[in-house]
Parts: sequence; structure tokens; C-alpha cells
Amino acid sequence: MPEPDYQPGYSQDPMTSREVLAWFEAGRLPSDGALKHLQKLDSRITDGRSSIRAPSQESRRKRIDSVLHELDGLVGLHDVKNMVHEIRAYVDVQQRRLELGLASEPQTLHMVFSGAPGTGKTTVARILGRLFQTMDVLPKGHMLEVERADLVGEYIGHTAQKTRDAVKRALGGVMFVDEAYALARGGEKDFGKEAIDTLVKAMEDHRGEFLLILAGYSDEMAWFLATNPGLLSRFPLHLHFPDYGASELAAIARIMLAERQYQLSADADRQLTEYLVRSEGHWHVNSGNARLVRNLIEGAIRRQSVRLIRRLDMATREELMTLTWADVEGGL
Amino acid sequence: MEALVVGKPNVGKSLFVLNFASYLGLREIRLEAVGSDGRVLVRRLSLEDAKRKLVSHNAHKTMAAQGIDVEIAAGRTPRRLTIVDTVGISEGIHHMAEIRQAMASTLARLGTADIVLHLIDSSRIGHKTIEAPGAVDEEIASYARQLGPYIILANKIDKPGSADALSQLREHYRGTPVIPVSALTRRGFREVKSFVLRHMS
Repeated sequence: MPEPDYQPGYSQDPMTSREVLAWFEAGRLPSDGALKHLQKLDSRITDGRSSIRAPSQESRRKRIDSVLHELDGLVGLHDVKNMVHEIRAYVDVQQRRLELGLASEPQTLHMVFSGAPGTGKTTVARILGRLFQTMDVLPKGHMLEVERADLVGEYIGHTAQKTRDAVKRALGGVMFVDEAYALARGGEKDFGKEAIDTLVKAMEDHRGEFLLILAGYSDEMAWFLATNPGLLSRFPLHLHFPDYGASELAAIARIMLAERQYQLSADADRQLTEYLVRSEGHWHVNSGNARLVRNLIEGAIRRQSVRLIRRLDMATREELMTLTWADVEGGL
Repeated sequence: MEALVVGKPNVGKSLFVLNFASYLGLREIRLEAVGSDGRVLVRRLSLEDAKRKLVSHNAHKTMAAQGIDVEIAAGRTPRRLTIVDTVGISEGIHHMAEIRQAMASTLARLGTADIVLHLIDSSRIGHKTIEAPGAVDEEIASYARQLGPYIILANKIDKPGSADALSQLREHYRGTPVIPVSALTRRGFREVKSFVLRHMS
């Protein structure tokens, strides 16, 4: 923003605070102009941004970026990643607006995750907890994973108590209700309804103190949200976790193997990819996606051990790390 | 710890400083004034004498920053606070070089103060007199709020019509605490004290 020129003939602005004062004393600057320049030249404000205030800002940014980096490291899930980046930007902007005294939307960020098992819902929820903790939205950022049995009680009055206890433990972090539709499944007399009502009430009572994520299969979640008219409006964010494609599953397999310090032989890698491509679309709906890959790999690792045990003394480092197609195939 | 009292001329800075110091338990004023020539003058005055000498109805009575040391008994160890009365800053370019020089000393101190107490004459909003709130107050507010602990004291709240003025000031300087005070009747001094104490560590 260009500063108004206070005195014709002096087109330049004063360069130091001392100069401002000298100009002011000499009658070359009015009081408000002098204050404006002092503010601009004050090292505590201008440099302060990069030396006093900024380190915490910068390290905060770095921490946020490292959490997001972890998210981006997940295979696939493009829409989910985009949504999380959007949420991050939204929260940041709202916080900044609040700092500057602008009206800011209250942050209700409760979410519904829908998708088949093994599509990364729990993993993303955990990352979100940490993301919101680094962004100062949630003080603790831990994740409490609960299911129907943790919320629903055995006799009248027990459910509200149990649900409230669970909420209390989740305060400051994320409450992840897995298979949330099960809460509405029991029919009219079921205590699950009471659990839902208690949760809805807790969302109002502890607004902004915890993040509630309801997760489950897509179809069942759609049905569940339809059963209770208050629910849909209370969860502004819906994240759909699509099933992984063949190449994504192969990538997941490679990452899982690398974590365990194993690798596929070239032949095994090619055959596995081929197999996954061939059976893409033919999976059973709830076959487990990433979990399926994990089971496949763990089975292959066991079979490799059986193969190697007979000549363990002679096995090389390379052999101990490599899974062949025969190892993998046995589990298919 | 240094609390700088700033504002336009004739908003009641000097009276506020003296009465606030006496509210904090000071009986005798030991004035340290740094003249524009750089010499430090020390004077001992009773509160009444000090008021007679330092406070006036005319603008620019105070011509040099004056510090008053007070010990606030808070907790086990008394804490030392220097309340600094400053030269009022008028709008525009003042025609007297002497006053410009004195005002420059105030501006210079603004950058180093630990706490800034900004007095505004709440009875003169919209007026054209020298003490009426104006562009200088805006600039002080926008500068000082970035420096550290900063509050606006809506002075002369004892005058009629001040309730309106107070809400106007609160609306205008949103984000900064505005405390209604009266340097004359000592209203609001408790709040100012607790603000200062909160920011002394």
C-alpha cells in the first residue's frame, strides 16, 4: 500500500525511527503520519514477525505440513485428501479472521466417513486428530475408537451414562464411532437410539471440544443418517472412502512389505499386479481392501519362512528379504 | 516495569498518573523528569503539591516525560512499577518547535514501553477541541496494540453522556479492552490496577 506523501518535495519516506522523530521535530511530519512510520519501522513488529512471533508460527506450519505430508503419503484417497486440505485451509482462515476481529463461522467439523472396511477410515481419522491438535482446534488430538458395545448399556439409564463417559474420555480429541449405523439397527425400543440422542446432546454441550466421526459402510451410513433427521444437518462434512483400485492395492502391498523389510521378487511383483488387475471389480463388497492385502502379505511371509527353514543356515540376506510368487500365490 | 500513559493533550494524563499512583499507595511523589536537554531532574512533592504543579486545564502543561515509581504489594514480593506521564500528542503539525520536540520524546518512548495505557477523552467524541479523539488515537491504537499489553482508558467518564461515548469507543476499538475511568473520581482504577498487575511478571 503506498503511503501518502506528506510533504511535496520529500518523496522519500524516513528510513529509521530516529529519522521519523527528527522529521517530526522539524515539522515535516504530522503526528499521525509519524506514528504510522514508527509502526512501519518498528523492528519489534516488522522483524518481530520473523524473529519473535514467526518461529512459533513457522514451527506450527511445519508441524501441520508434516501431518499433511503423512496424509499425502497414503495411497489413493484423492477426494479425501482434497477435502482434508480444504478443511485445513478453512480452519486456518477462520482463525486468522478471528484474530482480526472479523465474524468467523463457528467450527463444527463433525464428520461422517463412509466406505468399505480397509479403505483407510481409521487411519485418516487418526491423522485428523493430530492435524487439529497442531492447528490448536483440539487440545489433545487423541483418538477414542468406540463401537456400539461401548456406548449402549444393558439396562434403562445405563446407556446415557456409558455414552457420556465415552464422550468425557474423548474430550479434547476425536471420537471415532466405528460401524455407527449399528446404533440405529435395533428398532424402536433399542437403547441405541438413546446413545444417539446422548451423542447429539453432547455435541451441543461440548461444542468445539471434541470431534465426532461416524464411520461405516456407505449404504448403511446413508440409511442411518436418514433414520434421524437431526443427524444429517449436524454433520456438515461427508467423506467417502472409495474402494482401492488394483494399482493402488499393489502400491499398498509394496509399502507394507517395505515397512517389514521384505520385497517381492520381480516375477512375484508382476504376477501379483496382474492378479489384482484381473480380479478388480470382482472382489466381494466387504472383502477388506487394504486389510486383504495385509493378510495376503502376512500369509506370504509365513510361507516364505516355511520355505527357508530347511536351509536356514545357508540363506542369504537377499533370500531372507525376498518373497517369490509361490509364497504369495499360496494365499490366493 | 514501565507503564506509559499516552494520549492527546488535555485528556487527563497527568491527573490520572498522580491519582493512580496515590491509589496504588504512594504518599509522596518523587518526580524524575528527563528534560528535553537530557538532564534528569528529581523533585519531591506531596500529592497535592504535585497536582497543583503538574495538572492544568490548558493543553501541553506536561512538557517532558515524567516517571513515578510505585511499589505494588502483590503477593509476597512488592513489585516495582514506573508510571510514566508523557507529553500529549496533538493532531497535525504543531506550530511550536519546543512542543514538537517534547512530543517526539513521547513517540520515542512508545516503542520501548512495557505497558501502554492510552487515555481518550470520552466526553469529547466528535468535538473539534484539542483533546477530542482523532487520527492520532487511531494510529496510537494500531501501533501500540502490536507492541504488547495495551488498553484504552476512556477518561472523564464522570461527565454526562459518557455511557454512549463508552459504547461508541468499544465499538470503534474492537479487540482492545476499553476501561471506563475517571482520573478525577478514581473510578475504574481497580480494573486498571488488575490489568497492570496481570502483565507484570
